[in-house]
Amino acid sequence: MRTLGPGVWASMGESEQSLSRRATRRHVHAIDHLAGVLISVGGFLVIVAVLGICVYLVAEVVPLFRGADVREGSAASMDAKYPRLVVCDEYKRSAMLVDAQGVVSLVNLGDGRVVSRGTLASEGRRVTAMSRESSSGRVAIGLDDGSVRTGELQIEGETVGKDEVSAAAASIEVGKAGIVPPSGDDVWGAVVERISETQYRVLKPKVDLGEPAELDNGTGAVVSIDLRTRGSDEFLVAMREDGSVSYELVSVTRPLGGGTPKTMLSPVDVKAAYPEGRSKPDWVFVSGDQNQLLLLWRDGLCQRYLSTNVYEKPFEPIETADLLPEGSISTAAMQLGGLTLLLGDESGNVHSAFIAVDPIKGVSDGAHLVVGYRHHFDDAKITSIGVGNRDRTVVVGDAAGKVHVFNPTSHKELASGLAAFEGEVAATLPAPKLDGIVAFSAAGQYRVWSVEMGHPEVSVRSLFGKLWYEGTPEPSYVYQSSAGEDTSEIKYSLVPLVFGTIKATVFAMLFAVPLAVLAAIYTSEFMDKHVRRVVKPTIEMMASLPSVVLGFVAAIVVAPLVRDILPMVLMSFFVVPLGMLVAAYAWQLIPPPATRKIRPGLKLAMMFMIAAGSMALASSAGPAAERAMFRPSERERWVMGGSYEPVVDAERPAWLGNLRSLSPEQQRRLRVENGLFFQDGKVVRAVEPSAEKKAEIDLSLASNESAAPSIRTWLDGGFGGPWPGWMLAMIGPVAMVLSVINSKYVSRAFHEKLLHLQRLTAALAETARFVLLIVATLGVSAGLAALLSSAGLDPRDSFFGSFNQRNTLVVGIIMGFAVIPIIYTISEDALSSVPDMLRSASLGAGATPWQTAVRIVLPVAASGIFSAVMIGFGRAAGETMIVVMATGNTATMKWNVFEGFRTLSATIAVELPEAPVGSAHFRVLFLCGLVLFAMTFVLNTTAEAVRQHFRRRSAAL
Amino acid sequence: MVSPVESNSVPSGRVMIRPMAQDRGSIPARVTMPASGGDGGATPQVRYPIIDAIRRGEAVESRTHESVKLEDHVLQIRQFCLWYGAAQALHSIDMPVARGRVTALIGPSGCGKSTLLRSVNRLNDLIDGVHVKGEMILNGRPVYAHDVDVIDLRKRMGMVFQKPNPFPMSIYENVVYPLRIDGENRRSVLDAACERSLKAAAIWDEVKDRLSQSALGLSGGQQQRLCIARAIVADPEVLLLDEPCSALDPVATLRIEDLIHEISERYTVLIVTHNMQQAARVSDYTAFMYLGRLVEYGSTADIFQRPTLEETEDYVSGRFG
Repeated sequence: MRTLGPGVWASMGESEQSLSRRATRRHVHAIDHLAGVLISVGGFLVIVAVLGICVYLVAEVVPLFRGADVREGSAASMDAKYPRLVVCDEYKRSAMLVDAQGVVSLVNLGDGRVVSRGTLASEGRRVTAMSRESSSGRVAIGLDDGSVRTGELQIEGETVGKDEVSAAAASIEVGKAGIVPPSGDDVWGAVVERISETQYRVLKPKVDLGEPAELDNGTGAVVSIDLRTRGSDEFLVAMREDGSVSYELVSVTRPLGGGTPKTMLSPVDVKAAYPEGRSKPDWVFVSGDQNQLLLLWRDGLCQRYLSTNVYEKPFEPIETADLLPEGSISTAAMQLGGLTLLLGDESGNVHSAFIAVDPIKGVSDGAHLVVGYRHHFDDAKITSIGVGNRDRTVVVGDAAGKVHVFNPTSHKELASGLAAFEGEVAATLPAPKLDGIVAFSAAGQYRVWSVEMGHPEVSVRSLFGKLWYEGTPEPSYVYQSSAGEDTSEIKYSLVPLVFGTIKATVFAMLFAVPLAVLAAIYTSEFMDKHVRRVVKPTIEMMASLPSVVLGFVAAIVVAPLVRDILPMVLMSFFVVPLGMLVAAYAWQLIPPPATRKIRPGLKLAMMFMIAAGSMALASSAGPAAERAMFRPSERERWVMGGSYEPVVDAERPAWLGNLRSLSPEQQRRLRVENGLFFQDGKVVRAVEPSAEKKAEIDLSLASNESAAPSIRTWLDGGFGGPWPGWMLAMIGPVAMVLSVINSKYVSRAFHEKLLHLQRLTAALAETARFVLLIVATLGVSAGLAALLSSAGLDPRDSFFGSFNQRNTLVVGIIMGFAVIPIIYTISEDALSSVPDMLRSASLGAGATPWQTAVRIVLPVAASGIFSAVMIGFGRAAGETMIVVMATGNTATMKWNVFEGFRTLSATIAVELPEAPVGSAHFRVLFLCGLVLFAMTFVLNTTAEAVRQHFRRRSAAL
Repeated sequence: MVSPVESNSVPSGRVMIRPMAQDRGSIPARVTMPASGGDGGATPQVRYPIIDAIRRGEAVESRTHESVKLEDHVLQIRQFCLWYGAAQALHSIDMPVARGRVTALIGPSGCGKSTLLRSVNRLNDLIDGVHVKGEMILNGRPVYAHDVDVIDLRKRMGMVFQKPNPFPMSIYENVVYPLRIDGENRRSVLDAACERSLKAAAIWDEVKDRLSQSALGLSGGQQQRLCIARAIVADPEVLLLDEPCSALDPVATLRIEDLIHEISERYTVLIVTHNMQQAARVSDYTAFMYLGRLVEYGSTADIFQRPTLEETEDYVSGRFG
């Protein structure tokens, strides 16, 4: 190797000329320039791509929150007044108006001309009541002689060629509609729309009513009627002038060879008993599940009748509720699905009332009537409520002539205050395709709007707030994107998903962070360099395991294994760290010259052996602890063995209400709170059996699976009090608190005494203190557990609960494994990059390697370790495959460790393939993505701020 | 020693330097290439028989003046050898260190003076593949023995490094760190110790109003004096200074040198320096090392004015190195 002599440096420093000879070549400049351009373009494209994704996400999500887009359509006067019932075709071209007398007018909505008229009455009878179910198009007509008839009332559309339309339609311009007047057999005529030169759409009424059939009981005209269909079943409720209520199962038979269908009524007895001082109700309704009747008075009083089986049992009053504390009802309608009543009142409110299943507050059938939501429009009286036939969007008309559109489920007001008429709105309804609204005034005017509804079922409230869904006991956060029936409410609350994401992340981090960070500290500060060279890449390789592999390992291998060896798994969380600590204390007992001879590789192997030994110990200690702690109590065994007596009703706790069957959780509550048991549908008390009966019970329970000690049965609430669970939960925190107290207040004094002792004696004293600490931990935990149990708290209500095989514990462990490598690697790098001179300074000052690690290296590396943890956090929050496969994906909101959850990412992965593009579901999934992004963004920004704070401290290093 | 080792000794010398990033950058280019079979040509070789013998790997006897031997010795280094893996870095060093005096180690880069210093508090143990032979005795107790607790041993010494290395914590905490790790938490004790050692390190007046501020905000010279304060807070038996001024400007250097003078009244100081003037200014005794061997060791006055070897004379006067 040649060296530059001093002369070279000297000549370069002195001579200007020699420097100028060093010219940069042109192509170097060109490459430099090119590289600069390429890098800027690349960087710019990256920014554009990221922003583009964000913009796209937002653009997909924004329509969810928009109201309806309303455009005025045609409006005119027509020769048909006081509509009681209106039907509109799918294309908003024609409408059928039925007035109070049952006169039907077919109207061309283009210009208001009445095409034809007919009647719903049958010969010699007058129409006195009518009702139409919008989803099926079925009508029920009540007549003045006390008979009813049912049938279909719709406008049907048909596309035909030029040759098939009558001559009257030939002159219609393309895109316009005209009428074909009735002629000959065609009693209704039609509204005809010319779609193109050769194609016409013919809109004809379909009025297909059965023969009237006489109601059996009561006298006078039918004054109120309501009809529901369920599949092919049809059932109606009718009230006659004398206040008698009839419930009829309807069957319609069509005679062979055509003719008017025959209506057959099979009545179900209604044991009507109006509340005191009440005459006949103003409305009657039958529920969509066909076994409840709702009688409604104008002041809001509602009486509910129930027949548990309409084929066998009569209807009996079960509940009377005041749905309207003040004001009075002006109009009422049954919401789609037949389970929610919409009540319009005099002061511009619409109330949605339904039967909430609530075993505690409910009446004898475990349900009660509640008003779930009240929406206030303008102050004018609500005069009409139009229910859609496809979703729960409702059109409301008021006395001031205004029309409003809203969705009672999501509370979303899509459009409000659409001015329709001078006078009151007599009837209104959403167009069948939900692309418009039609409103009619009493004075014979109408108005049509074209409406883009957007996504009525989604609002900020429904996504992030509690909503009181039909039939549920209280407002709640529910995510249920698909329902069994079209008429069901769709529940898009993201809160359970956000909760699931947080739960997954928290448990994964609880498992991963201590392991990864401690492992990083160990490798960087204590491990022999040769061993480290092998260990670090090995752990880093774990990061390359595809998460789907981890996921199915979790689901197929780990989950069943954890289920089978649950006591051992739980026990090893305590035993393994304890084993390590015990080993550390034992190490002190060995004389130092002996320990120094042990090679580092062997030391590591010994640690593995200790870990394995601890696991082995846990595998026998776990089941032993299970047998000792998680077993049925003496009394529970008596009851299981049949030694019990029923309690009198007075002793039955109030919260039980009228429940006939109890969930395991409710049974547990009964046991823990009241000391009572639930057996064969009855509340019972344990009775101490005689000696020989005891032996008999022991014998019979010996082979009884449900009486065997088992932590899983305990978790499910099968037996046992809260104490063992509290004990289990308290050990960790108590151990932590005690060791902090110990090191803060006891340690120093203790160590000063140790200074004067022999090394071995000191080590023995240390060990004794450690054992004492363990005993104290167990004692304090037991005491705390007893305290908490006696306070009536049960861990099975919060972080413990019924056991599912695919649970958070499994996911925590496996997802922990997925994030450990990344946290480990970055933490290790951060620790290794702490300048060696700081370590030297600390060691040179006489610090031990542990003191150096904790007092010097760790604080300096804190920002790096914090970043590592945050990156792990981000990975855990966004992790998909593991949670999809190993959690069960139930969108619950419980902290229960032994239950699954549903995360945002898993929801997107599972549901996006089946969500139609552009649908609310599709957009909600995009919103899930956006929320996830926002969560990680907030997290990372906070993390960065914290990290910068840490870093400033050691910036000058 | 056979001759292949000799040519190896130069790279191994670099290895010696590497762990603590000592010396790097502060050495003139021409002294980094001393041997390489003698083609450097910068130094006439015939004049230095002992240096040549060392370069050839032959054992030489070091000249230790009688004046040193007469002193009371706090540290005895006897036949001390040290290897980094297969490369030997120190060759049979025999060197007593006088109690209550400042002893300077001088010599060209890679001569093992830092290694020797770091052997005293066994910081070299941290480096892979280091093994030693011979013995060191500090105040009658062996440094290298099986039953020595290294942590306790280090507690008996204070060390200051080439680059100021305060911990990223407050000035106060920096100074009392050695006491803290010994479990001393009584505020009064710590306060007193902090003030005492900051005063001894002549930095008290500059920092007394900002003890709770980060030590990293101090200037380089202040940081180094802080490190000295930290090194003496626990009353060490020996204070080891590893080129404490090489990263400082001349003014700060001067202050540190004054400080060394002051603290030498209370402590035994062993200082490594490559600055001959500094050695002459601050030390009572000076040891000249070359390629892992002690060449000449005597009182500073003798070494600088009346050295017995021509090599030493030429080195201290800058004619060789």
